[in-house]
Amino acid sequence: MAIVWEYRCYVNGAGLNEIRSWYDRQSPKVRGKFISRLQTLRQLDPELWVPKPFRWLRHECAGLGEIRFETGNVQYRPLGFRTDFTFTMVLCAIEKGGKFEPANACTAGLARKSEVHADANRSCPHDFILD
Amino acid sequence: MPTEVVPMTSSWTREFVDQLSDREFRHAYMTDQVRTHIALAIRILREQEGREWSQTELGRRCDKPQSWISKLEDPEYGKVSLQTLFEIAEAYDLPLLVQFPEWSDWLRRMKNQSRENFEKKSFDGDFLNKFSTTKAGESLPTSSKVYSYSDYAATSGKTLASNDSVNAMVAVG
Repeated sequence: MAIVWEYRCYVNGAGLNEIRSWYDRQSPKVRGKFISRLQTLRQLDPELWVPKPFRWLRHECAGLGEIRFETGNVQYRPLGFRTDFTFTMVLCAIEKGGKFEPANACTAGLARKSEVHADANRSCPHDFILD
Repeated sequence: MPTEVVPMTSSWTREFVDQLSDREFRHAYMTDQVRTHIALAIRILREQEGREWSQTELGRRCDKPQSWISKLEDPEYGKVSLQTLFEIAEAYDLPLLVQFPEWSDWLRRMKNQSRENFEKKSFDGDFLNKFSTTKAGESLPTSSKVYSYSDYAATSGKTLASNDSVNAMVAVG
């Protein structure tokens, strides 16, 4: 039976959906590619959530995974974590020279993950148009 | 009289179409879907039950290194040529189809990216012969030329994906 993943987005203390806010600031090209990746990943078996379209992170970033895509020579890395078949996006970073921008993307991402675990109101269902 | 082909059921919302109305968005979306589709297809066909090939094995069959296969399975790799696809097609003993469809057809076809939708059987003469004529050049009776969904499913032992054109399209006019 086909799997369909759910997506959720991190909501900050002021009630702002940070992922949607990031998306709204992006160019149409970035938006198009991001929507394409969400569409594709949500249909993939867990064993296909692997490089290259996706990668689970290790070391100081363990517990987070990154959606990987490039547009205009910028490597975009929306970060998130998995709970069953839900992927909650917590922070949208970019990667330059093997390092994240912002530099504290993993620390901040993991902190947001903890916030989401502690308070269900710190995430919401995504409102991207995938169908 | 020209035949208009329309989807029987809509696979997308009005909001999704509105989103596609931006040309830049539309083509960034389309390009990524196609690249991802190719990368996933190469990987899933390689891992399909009955093949279960490593990247090295597929590379060996294409006379290329494993690193070449790895690149082809990366949706960001933008240098996949038609020649490359022909080489991959030969390795899997599958045909290749390249088209410029209309958007409605394309959206419907790209909708299903589940593993089952990518898995394909290599050339099978016995299977093809079930649909062949009895003698070269001799036509079958008209009624035998069109196979229904149930005939196909019964003969092939597989169900059609929801986005298979025979299942979702109807000719009008």
